[in-house]
Amino acid sequence: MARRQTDSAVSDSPIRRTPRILFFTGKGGVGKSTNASLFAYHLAMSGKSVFLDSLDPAHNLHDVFDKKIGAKPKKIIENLLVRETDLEAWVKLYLKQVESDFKQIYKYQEAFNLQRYFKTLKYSPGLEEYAVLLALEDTIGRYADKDFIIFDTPPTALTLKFLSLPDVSLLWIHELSGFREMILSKKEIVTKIHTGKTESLMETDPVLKKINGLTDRYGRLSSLLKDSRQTTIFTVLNPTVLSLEESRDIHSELEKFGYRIPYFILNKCTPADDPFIRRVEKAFPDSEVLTQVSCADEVRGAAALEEQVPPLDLNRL
Amino acid sequence: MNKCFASIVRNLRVFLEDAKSVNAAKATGILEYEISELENIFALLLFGSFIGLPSPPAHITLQLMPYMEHELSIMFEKIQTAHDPLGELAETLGEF
Repeated sequence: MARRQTDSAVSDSPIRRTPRILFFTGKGGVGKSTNASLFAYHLAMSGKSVFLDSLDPAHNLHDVFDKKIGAKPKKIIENLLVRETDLEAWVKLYLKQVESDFKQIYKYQEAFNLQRYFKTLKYSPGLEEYAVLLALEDTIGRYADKDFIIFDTPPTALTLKFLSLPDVSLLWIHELSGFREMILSKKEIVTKIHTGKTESLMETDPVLKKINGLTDRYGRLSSLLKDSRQTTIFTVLNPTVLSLEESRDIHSELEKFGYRIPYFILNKCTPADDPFIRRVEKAFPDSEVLTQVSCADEVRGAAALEEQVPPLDLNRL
Repeated sequence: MNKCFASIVRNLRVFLEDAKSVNAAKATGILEYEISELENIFALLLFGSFIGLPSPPAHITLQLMPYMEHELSIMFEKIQTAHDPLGELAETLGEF
């Protein structure tokens, strides 16, 4: 299992056919995991094959389903597989793979003394969101035969970072690609003057090849995540000012990168919250506000999930 | 007379070819120096975090690093001559 995960971590894109992808975002404690589980459970009950994946380092799905769930997918009911992804394991696997590539290719690594560099890389800023992205790509590629893949997302800061990572990476890659091409075109001139032959370094340079591979990979991922026919983002909030403000931040940050949030789920609502519903509708006029009535008890276990009705007609997904 | 003329033409051709080689060497020498500077900058762009420059996301650096032995060598060489950049430049230009 570990080896297979590493392989896909370094392949240029494990994504082929894509099922419908749902993300549940929102402030901590608003009910992301509960709503993700609710949609997953009812979709599975309606005959759709569903893979529910928690990308949150502090997993909650085992609490919602009241079952032990780990990094290995677990069948909860017919058509429903649930997993709690181990993000730390993804960082380790990825670094191990880079180190092995490095050892194979470099002749003088001992002289550079880069071994020490690898030991501290796991603490490098940005690797956590990359681990989420790797896990996400792997899940989409590995469970491409499912009708739905549902992601319970990590805290807002990390979610915004990993959703913007394909675009941020593309910006850098674009600049690096231009710079590399300039170097190669000058090298081609030198080769031509020395040998009299024209050699196309643009097609053989391993760095440019890798850069082009990354461009394709992040380009595909970015398009997939922003395609509203493939991917739907839900933001869950409670009738509190703090969760509304955080939802505004999520909305505006994702909008900057071209994402759209079609649904806001106002969770733990009571009839007294009508004015707040209007407020949320006013805050997000281009989206639909779905209300989820507060239950007397916490939703826990399959029976409780079965009783609770999702706030959206599932045929609309 | 014809022999003499042919000899002059042959010598002239050799002279022109030599002159072309010298000029080509001069041209590529400067260009090669420029390329090594650009390769150093490319490596610095990727590994700038070592010296406090903003860097691409770590995963991009890590994915390109295994293919950048040549650029890393140049970067380390440039570090050796960093205390005397003018000397290095004069050395390159002095060849001409």
